[in-house]
Amino acid sequence: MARKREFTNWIFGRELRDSRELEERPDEERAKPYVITPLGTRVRRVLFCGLVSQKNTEESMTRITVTDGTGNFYVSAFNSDFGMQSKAMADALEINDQVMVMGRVSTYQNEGKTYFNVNPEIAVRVDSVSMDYWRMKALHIARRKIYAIRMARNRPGSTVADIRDAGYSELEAESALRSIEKYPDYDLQEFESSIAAQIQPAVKEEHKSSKDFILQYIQANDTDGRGCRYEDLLAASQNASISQNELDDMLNSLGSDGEIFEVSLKRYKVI
Amino acid sequence: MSDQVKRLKISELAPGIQNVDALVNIVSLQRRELKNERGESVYYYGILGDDTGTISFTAWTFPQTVRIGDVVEIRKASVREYKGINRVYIDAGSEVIMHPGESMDVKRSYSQMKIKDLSTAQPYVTVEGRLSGVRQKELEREGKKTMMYYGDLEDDTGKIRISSFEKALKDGAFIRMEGAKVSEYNGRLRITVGSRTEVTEIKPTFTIGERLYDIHDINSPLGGVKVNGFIVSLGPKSGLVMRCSACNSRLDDIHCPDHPETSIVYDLFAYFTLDDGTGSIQCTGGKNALLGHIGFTPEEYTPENKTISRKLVASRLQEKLLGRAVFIEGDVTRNQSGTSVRISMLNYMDTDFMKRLEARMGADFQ
Repeated sequence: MARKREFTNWIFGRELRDSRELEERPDEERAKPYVITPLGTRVRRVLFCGLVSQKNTEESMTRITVTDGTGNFYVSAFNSDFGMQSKAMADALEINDQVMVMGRVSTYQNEGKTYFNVNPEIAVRVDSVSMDYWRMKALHIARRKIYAIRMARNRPGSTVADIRDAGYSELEAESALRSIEKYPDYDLQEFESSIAAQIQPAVKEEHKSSKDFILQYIQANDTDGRGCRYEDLLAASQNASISQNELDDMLNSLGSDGEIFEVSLKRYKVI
Repeated sequence: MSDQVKRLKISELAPGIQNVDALVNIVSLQRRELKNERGESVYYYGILGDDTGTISFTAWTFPQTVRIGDVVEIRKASVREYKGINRVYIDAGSEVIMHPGESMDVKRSYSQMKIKDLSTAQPYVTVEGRLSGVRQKELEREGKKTMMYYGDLEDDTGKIRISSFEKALKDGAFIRMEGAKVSEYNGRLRITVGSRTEVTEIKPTFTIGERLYDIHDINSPLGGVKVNGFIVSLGPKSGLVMRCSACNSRLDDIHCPDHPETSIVYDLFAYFTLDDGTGSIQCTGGKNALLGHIGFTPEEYTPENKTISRKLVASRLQEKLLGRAVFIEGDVTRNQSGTSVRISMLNYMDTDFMKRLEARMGADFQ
């Protein structure tokens, strides 16, 4: 019998980043565990689009960080028998490239925290239309799940059949019930706002990337010579549809790359 | 409760009724094998009829000697609704008793269905649509010359092949067919106008436009569908195909074993997986749909053009298809290896298509 293809989840970085739950399948001893996200999505394979914000190439492995505006995906392509093609694909990418990546999620835990890594099956450059298409569909898929969860939260005791009868697919209904079980207090409103901000390409197109925007803002707003204030940067970033989490990730990354430094607490200068 | 069970007519069968006893004619009967994680099993389905109407049935056990047209008594069955259709369920606790030699008139009743909902589980239906691509040919049936008309029937949900013996089909006409027969051939659904099918020309009550589907919603071998997504894998055997210009056979060598003196022609074949976030589906495409995307015109794509090689075609397919966001149009087929789309058109994603898609998706939340 042909093996069923593993479902590919189109999810935002934020959904994966906020995930805390894993599900081991006793019937699949050697397989990686599923990640259960706050929207109840059962994830083993993901597909996402974003901007390459970091790249580190070694002989045995290439690591890239892809930001979709809501969070980062950390992608590692290994130079193994099975991964040679995907490493070559990752090697061909450059920082600030717009990319589509499909791959398997692996997890590791450290000091009680769960980290996610994506082993790519495909990693290719895409154009802006493809990026916008992915954002639009990923947002739609997430919204349908959010609405199903809200419906189930409002009607305690709902079953898969009840949710399906309201017009959702079996997968969406199962996800809604998983979300309620595993993440009963997850803030759906805040999550929806953060991902909806990504569907305004007109705002984002003014800046080549979030990174460029942040660098430019810090440089232009070091008004008293003591560095740009974090509060000002945060307000400006949010106006440009860059979430606080994305800003924090980017500041950390710019700091490690030596492009900015923190002069004093929450004050930044471009090097 | 009394042990005596009342025999019911089909018109009296309603969802929830248990312990059904009915004398019926087997109007249609199909056998299907089911394979899943729990193993393999067989079930039967079809249509039961009597002088009050017809009803679908599913049987997990059924006598293998029963044939279409037989009259049987069914005992201890139940009636439930499934996907909006009442259905008789025959299980291990039911009995099917043959009444050999008996005959029974069946009052035909046909549900009106959209093309996307057609299935062989309900083989006689009423359906409306527009005829297109109608052709005709003369055939000999039982020593008599007869005319067969064939083409496509489409509505706002899909397209299906249609054939008619004797009753003429007019290209471009909107028609209503009562009692047309649905069957499956070569992995595609088709509909047949029979001698008892009533065909009338109608004023259209629907508009035929773009039939956009999520991959998750493709459940039957439906024609004329449009789906979108990223191409996430490309089959390793996709590429240049050589064919004999005389017999069109696919060749491994540059000479056809049956026509060694005849020239070869170049064809193109690609198979890939399309994923739209709701599911994935296999697609196959040929020269008509794909040649332009790899940068050749039909005039250039010939064995005389020495710049063309298998390697070049394979690498262009890889470059131009893998990882690209596209929308495709084609016909869904179903066979033993699963469901796939034979594409007739492939376009890269564009903002016009995205606007139409956005409008359709927006309707989910209204």
